[in-house]
Amino acid sequence: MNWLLGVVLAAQVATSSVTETIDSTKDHVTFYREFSSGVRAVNQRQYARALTHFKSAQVLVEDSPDVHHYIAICLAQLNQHEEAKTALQLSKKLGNTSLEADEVEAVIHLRQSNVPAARRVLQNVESLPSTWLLATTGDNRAIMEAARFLSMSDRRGLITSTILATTAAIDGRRVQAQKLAELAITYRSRLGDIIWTNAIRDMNERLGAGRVLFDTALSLRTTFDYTTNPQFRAAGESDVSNAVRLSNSFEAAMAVVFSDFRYDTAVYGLHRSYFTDQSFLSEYAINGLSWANRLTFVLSNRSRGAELALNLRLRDLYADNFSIHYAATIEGGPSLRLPVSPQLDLEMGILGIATDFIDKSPPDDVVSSQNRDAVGQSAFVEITWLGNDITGELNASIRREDARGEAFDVTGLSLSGRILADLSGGLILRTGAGVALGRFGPVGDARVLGPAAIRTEGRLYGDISFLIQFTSWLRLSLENFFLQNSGRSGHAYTDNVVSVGAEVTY
Amino acid sequence: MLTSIFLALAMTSTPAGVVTHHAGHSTLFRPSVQLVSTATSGQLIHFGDAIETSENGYLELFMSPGITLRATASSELSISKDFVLLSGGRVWLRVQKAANQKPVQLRVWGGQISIVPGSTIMTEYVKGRGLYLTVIRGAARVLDKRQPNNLINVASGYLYSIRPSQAPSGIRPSSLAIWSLFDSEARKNHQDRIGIEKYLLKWVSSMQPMFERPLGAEQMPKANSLLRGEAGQLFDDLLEGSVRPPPFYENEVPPKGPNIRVEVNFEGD
Repeated sequence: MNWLLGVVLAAQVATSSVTETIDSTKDHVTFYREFSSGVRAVNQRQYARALTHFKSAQVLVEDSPDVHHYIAICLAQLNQHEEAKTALQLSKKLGNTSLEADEVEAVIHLRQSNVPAARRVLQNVESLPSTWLLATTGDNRAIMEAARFLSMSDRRGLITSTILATTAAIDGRRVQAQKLAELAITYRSRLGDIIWTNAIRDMNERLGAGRVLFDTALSLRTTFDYTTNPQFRAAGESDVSNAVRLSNSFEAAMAVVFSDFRYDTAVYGLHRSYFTDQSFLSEYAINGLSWANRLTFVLSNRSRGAELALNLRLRDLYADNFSIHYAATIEGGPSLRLPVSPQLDLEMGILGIATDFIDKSPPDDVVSSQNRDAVGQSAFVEITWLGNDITGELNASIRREDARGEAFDVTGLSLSGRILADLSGGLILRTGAGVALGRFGPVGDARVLGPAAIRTEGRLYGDISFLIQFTSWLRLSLENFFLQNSGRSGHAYTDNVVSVGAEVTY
Repeated sequence: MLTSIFLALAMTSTPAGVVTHHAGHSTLFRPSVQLVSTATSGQLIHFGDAIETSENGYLELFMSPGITLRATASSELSISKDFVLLSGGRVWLRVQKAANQKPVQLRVWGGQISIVPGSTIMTEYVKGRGLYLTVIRGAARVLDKRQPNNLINVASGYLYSIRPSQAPSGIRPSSLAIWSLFDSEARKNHQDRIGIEKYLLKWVSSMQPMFERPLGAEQMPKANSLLRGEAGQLFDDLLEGSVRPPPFYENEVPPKGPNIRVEVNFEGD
């Protein structure tokens, strides 16, 4: 009898503990059922229904980071962004360290047009969709990273080419935009992705794919300049110690995009007249005209790809109401621009230069060594650093000119740097400095004349200017330019020009 | 009464997790009750269960408190109380830093991977080719059977591989491209649930194309120096070249004609 009682007691103990376990198990089962129903509803884009399931799951397991994560997804999709952010914060507090949590947060910020916050989040997320999202904010690093997926002939290539075509179009790089759009069309035809088909077709219509596109620009600029050495003469040799002048310039430019090319052309004119000491400075009252051309070939379909350009520029300079024809110059050659990193571009070029000094250069048969006409070459390398609101350039160049008169043969090199910063409130700062060295000659036989056969000059220069953008078409400028030229006696001089003016652009 | 006890005991078997999403065909094996069924969303998973995805199969499991496992096509895995065994295929595993969440042990060919809470990994095992582990976020520790005394720490953004008949290759940087294929497959299965593509489509549709401003004359080619002031950069060098005194005075320059050099050597007898 006792054994039966023992069994019954044991059974009662067992069933009570089993009952508790059953309750716990039931809760577990219910939790899992609610959770999976919620996920299923999310995948079916039924976010309101999903939210109900996740909230039921949350009642059973309060501290699950995944439940709060899904609650945040549902709320975000239901456009309850602030509530979604709160749910996401709680999820992260409970241990949610997933990429998807950061992506949800970034999407919420982007929907709320909070680009800086989205960028902050996305910079720590390593996934292709987050790279796409970051690329939409104009982040160069993301654009270059995404470009690695252009060759993937699956959905990644399709979406990447569409996104990068759009970023290029927004930046105005229409050739790249069209090349990338063509790639997107290729992928679209191959993959038959319905979701992106309409977007790509619509994008192509707006890009004007297959058509010849052009744009024009016009600018007029007037400045009052105060110059301390308008004649570029050594101290004590100038007729005038300073002068005030008016400089007017205009520029009309046009760019044409067709197929893989872009053609730029611009006409620039300058007229400079003096208010003071006009009798001494009539030869310095100049009229200059320049016509420049550039044909750019986009070598790759990356958003920031290599570009090969052919350049050609003509310049003509007159003075004293066109009564003096100083010089005419033709210069041109190829240049190559390579993006080397998300923020660095490298450009290099080789140029040929021919200058014909007309009125001020004596004919060759009078004093051969004084004839200035020259044919030369120059090569340059330039590194451009592209920040968000700041751009920096570092330029190194070498130059060699072979003049008719050997006194004007010159070899030289220069190094210069420049910064362009977009300060807040429409204020732009532009500043730079440079140094150049030149060697003239040799005249006669250097082995006979020794150091007397050559002359050297050094030049130090710098400028700083502030541009105040009043409207999209009007800006005021304040500029200071300083130059110190060191050379032999009678050749060293300094000049400082302060300019105040306005520029109208169209 | 005894029957009810046994029934109750059977019901106390706590589920290990749940299938939250599936695509294509996947098979669930439950050896304890000799059950073979098709895995469907909402189906509970128990310890001891094995899952096999077909050639077009895709499966996502959730295991409380914070484990999410995604298995892609042709994967074989089984769930035990202490570890997950991957016999073939490719899995993505995320372990949240949830309370009471212990590191997850993933047994694989050639060793064992311990996934630290707060980490996401992807691993692939192909028979004959070996095993590849990519740590997407957080960290994982690998016990490579070829180096049983050495626990290898693999950090976020790095890849570790165990390949047949090859010496340990060490840890090397991974790249987004390696796991983005799987990632995009998973996202496609989950129908853009966080709305990234929806946002991108809207952004593309709202695009207003611009035109990069036509270049100025001083840019084609770049002027020798941009540091001549805005107005002077194109013509001041020509003006200087025209009006400045020549580098040599005229009396320093030999007249036109050949320069003759005479050398006289005096030599002793």
